Amino acid sequence: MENLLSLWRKGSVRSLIYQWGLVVAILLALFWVFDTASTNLDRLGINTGFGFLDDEAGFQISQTLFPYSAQSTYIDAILVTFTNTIVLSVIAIFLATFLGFFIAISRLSDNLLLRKIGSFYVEMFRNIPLLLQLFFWYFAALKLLPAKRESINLFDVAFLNIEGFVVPAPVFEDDANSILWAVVISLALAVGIWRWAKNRQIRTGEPFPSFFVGLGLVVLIPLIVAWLQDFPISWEIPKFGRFNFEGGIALQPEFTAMLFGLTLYNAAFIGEIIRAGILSVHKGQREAANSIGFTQMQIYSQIVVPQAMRLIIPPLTNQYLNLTKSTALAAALGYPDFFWALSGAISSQTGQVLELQAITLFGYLGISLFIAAIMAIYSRATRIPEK
Amino acid sequence: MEPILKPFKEQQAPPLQSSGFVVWLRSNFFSTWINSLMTIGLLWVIYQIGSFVINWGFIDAVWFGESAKACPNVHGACWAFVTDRWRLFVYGLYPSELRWRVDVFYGLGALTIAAFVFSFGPITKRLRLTMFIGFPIAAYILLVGGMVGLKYVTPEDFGGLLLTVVIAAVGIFASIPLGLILMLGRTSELKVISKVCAYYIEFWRGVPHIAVIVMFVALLPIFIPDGNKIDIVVRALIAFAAFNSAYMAEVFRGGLQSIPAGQFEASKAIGLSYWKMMGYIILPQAIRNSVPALVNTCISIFKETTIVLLIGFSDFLGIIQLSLEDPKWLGPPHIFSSAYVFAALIYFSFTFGMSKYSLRLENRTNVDH
Repeated sequence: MENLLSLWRKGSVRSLIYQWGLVVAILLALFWVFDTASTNLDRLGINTGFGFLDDEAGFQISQTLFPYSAQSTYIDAILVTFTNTIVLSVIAIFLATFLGFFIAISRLSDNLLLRKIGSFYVEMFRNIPLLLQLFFWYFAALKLLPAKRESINLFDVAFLNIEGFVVPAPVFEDDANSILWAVVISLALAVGIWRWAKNRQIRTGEPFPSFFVGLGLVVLIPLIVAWLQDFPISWEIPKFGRFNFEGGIALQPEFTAMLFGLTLYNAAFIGEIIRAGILSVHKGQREAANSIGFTQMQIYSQIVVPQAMRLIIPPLTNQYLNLTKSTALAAALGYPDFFWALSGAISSQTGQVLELQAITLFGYLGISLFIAAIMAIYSRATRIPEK
Repeated sequence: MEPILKPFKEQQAPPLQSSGFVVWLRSNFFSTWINSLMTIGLLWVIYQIGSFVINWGFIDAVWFGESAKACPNVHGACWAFVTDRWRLFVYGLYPSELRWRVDVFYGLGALTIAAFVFSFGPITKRLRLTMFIGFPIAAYILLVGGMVGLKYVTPEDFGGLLLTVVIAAVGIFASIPLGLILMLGRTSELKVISKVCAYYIEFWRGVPHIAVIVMFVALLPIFIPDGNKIDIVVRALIAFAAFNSAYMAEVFRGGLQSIPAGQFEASKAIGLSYWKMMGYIILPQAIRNSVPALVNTCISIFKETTIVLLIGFSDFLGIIQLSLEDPKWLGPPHIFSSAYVFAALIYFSFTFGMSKYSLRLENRTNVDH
């Protein structure tokens, strides 16, 4: 007894007992949960397994990037809607970051009126539920748009009407691959020059305009390649035919509403993140750079932004994750995204709720981990070594 | 003999004005010609939007009416929809003769919030703690009833603003203690415990909330022994507590990380055990530091309650959406916009109030250091 008590008083022994206790408890709980689940499934006569994924889906999807028809399998349906989710997230992330940047600038402006308008925007959009904003765009605002025949004409290339947004479509000919290669090679070249210039500047102090040279390379090389091949990429501009638009890509109203809602809502948060990051750089840094003769441009690009980035990246990653997860609300508007397919269409047809839920959760978890990993690489690359 | 130090420049007259209204105006609105142009352009935009809002919301608006026919003007708001239905929006399907209970609940809630916002006279820490613990219990007895002589009301009759507030309140009150426990687990030195908590937290933070709610509502019956039925509202509440506790854990972890290592070392040096160190030294400081972030999380929880309408609940937004699809009110888009603007104003008044409160707390803690 005395021995046992003294063993218990030893921290290392106690921590081992706690940890093994937790492991055993979790295993027991899992076992109990699976046991009840399997009895319940037997009782309800539900088959489990992923075999149903090879069956014919039998429903249409209104927006697809791959060839898909009602005869395709459930697997195809899942992949098509997963791409829709990704496309929506990527475009919304891009637009929201762009808008958020301008909101941050306007909130840091010298002009009091602009600052006030910026903060009004932020307070308004981030304090109203996203779903309400999506409903507003979809059921109220987009319904005010004119019919197809009276579409709002944007510079004769894009048209906005009640059935969606018609934009030009890129047309790739067979030789278009070479341009892609040219872009990749020139990007690699630009990165190489940037590294070489940085090393040389550290060694000798001699500056090199690597940004402009790199930009020139990335623009010029693909242009020259395209010119050599008589421009294999062109834009197909939509035209109103007899009853409908011909050519171009028609974005559905659901997609347009999602894009509006996600962009405006997340831009408010991103604007605040960028503003906080820039404000976090001490005023003395700017003054010191000014006093040793940096130009305004150099102060921002070499002093303020690199330091602000360290504070901006983690919350920005979080915001991108939030945006991606909130694309699941598209199901409320009927946009065929990943969540719509798994929780709506497929689950009501097959009844395989358990498997479909697992696919949903791991699909979104995969996206989240992917974004987190990319941002971790980026933040490692831009980190300033701590002293 | 000439003075050694000579002034670089002749002495200049002082500037005409360095303070006052004109200077304020010039430095804030007309400092450069670009700024002046921008000010004039923005004033024009504000004028346009302002006059549109006044015309739409007040001058051309219809305030009372029975159906969509009352609002023929598509260029004006249709507040008749709101004034005709507001009882439904506020109380849901709660039995009309028992609505006083909901009113008392709202009153108690307002008092609890007031106890945390104001600090004078009888408002002490003890009172706040009593309210914090007592309010959920009183709210349960009042709303659900079935005891102390109050008639039982099933949670499935909750609706409108009442359901929104109940879900948000349960989400907040349940996730704070759970989040604290998870945070302690994640920051624990015991490897297994901290890994388990970290995976739990990262899992819930990585999946969309609506997917979690659908999962709990659809799957929970499969995972519990046959014969036990869990009310669908309760299932949604469990889902809310599950993922929000993960967010709360991260909020508290942020507060914990702001505490200097010296506090831990000093507590260990005077021989405090882990629980005493946490309970007396670390957590009181960590919780105080995390209050602004905690209020921000409360704001997101409040906004997130809207997603329950996707599983067929009639929360505040859900019941408005249902009423809009009622044939009596089905009409042109301006009725929709009026209803959404009204809903947005209500949500905004809650969330904006919370965000102002969080800002005040943040400024107060900033002054401390």
